[in-house]
Amino acid sequence: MGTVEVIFQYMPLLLKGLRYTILVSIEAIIIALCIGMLLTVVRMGGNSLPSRIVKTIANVYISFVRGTPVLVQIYIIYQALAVIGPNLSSFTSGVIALSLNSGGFMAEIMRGGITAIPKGQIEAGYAIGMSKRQIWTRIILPQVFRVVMPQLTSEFINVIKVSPMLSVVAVVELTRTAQRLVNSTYITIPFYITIAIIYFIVCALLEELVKWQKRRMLAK
Amino acid sequence: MSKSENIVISVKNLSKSYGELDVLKKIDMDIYEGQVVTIIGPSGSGKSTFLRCLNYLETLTDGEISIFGNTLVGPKESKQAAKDNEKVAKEIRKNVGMVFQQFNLWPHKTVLENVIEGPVQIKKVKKEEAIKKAEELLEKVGMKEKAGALPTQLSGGQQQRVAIARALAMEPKAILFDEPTSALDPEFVNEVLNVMKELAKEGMTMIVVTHEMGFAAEVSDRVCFMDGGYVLEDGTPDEVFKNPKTDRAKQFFSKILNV
Ligand SMILES: Nc1ncnc2c1ncn2[C@@H]1O[C@H](COP(=O)(O)OP(=O)(O)OP(=O)(O)O)[C@@H](O)[C@H]1O
Ligand SMILES: [Mg+2]
Repeated sequence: MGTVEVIFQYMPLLLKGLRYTILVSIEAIIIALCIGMLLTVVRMGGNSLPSRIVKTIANVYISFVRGTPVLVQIYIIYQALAVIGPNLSSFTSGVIALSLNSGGFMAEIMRGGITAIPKGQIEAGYAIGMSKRQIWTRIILPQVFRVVMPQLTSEFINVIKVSPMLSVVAVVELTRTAQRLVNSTYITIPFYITIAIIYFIVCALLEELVKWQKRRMLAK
Repeated sequence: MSKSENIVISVKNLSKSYGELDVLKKIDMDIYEGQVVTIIGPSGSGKSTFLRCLNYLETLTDGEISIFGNTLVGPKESKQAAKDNEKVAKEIRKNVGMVFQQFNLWPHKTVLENVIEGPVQIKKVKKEEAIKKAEELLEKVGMKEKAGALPTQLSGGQQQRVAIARALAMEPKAILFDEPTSALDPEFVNEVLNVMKELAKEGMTMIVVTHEMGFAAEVSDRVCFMDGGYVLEDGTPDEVFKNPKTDRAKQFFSKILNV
């Protein structure tokens, strides 16, 4: 049997791995968006003592996430979760680890987007009598997503690209599946190239999807 | 000097500091209904800060500001007192519009949306009504054709005229202008000044920080010269331009006349 046939023979297995890659990534992205927003709201908070304390915690958290290797974070979360919730599946632990990581990056991106909005626009809002809440909902947030969409997309793609690291905690996603097949078939490079192409297609599709969504928003 | 006996804006003993830097020093000023006051002075003299204190974009370090019966008081140390000032500021902002040097239109909204935002969101006017009113105002500032355009598609002069319409849409009793023409290319200055002249004619109470001495001389009832946080000259344009009392003002005028 030729290499190509072998790869095609195992394609269903690879696609099953891909399914897990996509599931884990989508769930992680959604949770990370929520974490990112939460952190951003906390970091934009006032100057009272409680706000300052949570702000500091948020900042330390974000620095930690950005300043340590993902793989190390995954090990830590996985071990910590094994103690806290021993019944969690490796899939769930993987999702949590990825979301906690990506949430920190997204928070930083969102804050960048918020500070990119000129102060004058906000003052113009106050000057006509807007409340803080209206400033957020009418001026800041509608613009933030437009401003940060390109960077957020990169971060989404990053989640997909980091997801193979979950194979170290036994999530059988695409890369892990390929590794197993490599071990059993002794075909190496062709399998890795195949999954590289699959990853590439998924990331490209995601990018197109975001672009399409953006065009739709602008058209409205 | 006054068109009316009604004092609508009263500033008493207003001081403002940023840390060690004293920007406004015990300013007193009464402004009458319908008066057009221009504020002139060198860069850094505190003109913008003064305007921004009036609608509480800046807190007061000391003194008092009463505008149409709503009074801001400084200094505010207790939380409650700061909250009180916030509340007063909301009332003041209902009566007082502001036009900025950088226009500060909201770029994600069309011209029309910029203008109806205040009436619809803050005054809770019905949208159709707000649109009708906005169209009239845009007509008035010569921007009706551009109602559907985004701010980035407009020249500076056009944006500033929209910003004026946006302020007018709230039906203010007074408008603060902070160097409304300073960011404009020269060819666009007049179209904005003309709109302002029109407002002055209609009896709007206006406080205008400007470097346009022609406008100050021709349109305003009163000129205040600020320097170093003080109001050093305060009188009719004739009094201030022709017979300045202070050396600082004389120097300032000779400098700008030599440009
Ligand atoms: N937020 C701030 N923090 C610290 N200092 C400030 C702040 N805003 C203004 N200042 C300082 O206060 C002084 C007065 O500033 P202001 O903007 O009122 O001057 P201005 O008369 O409007 O000048 P210009 O003609 O350049 O606009 C300046 O020295 C300025 O640096
Ligand atoms: Mg200024």
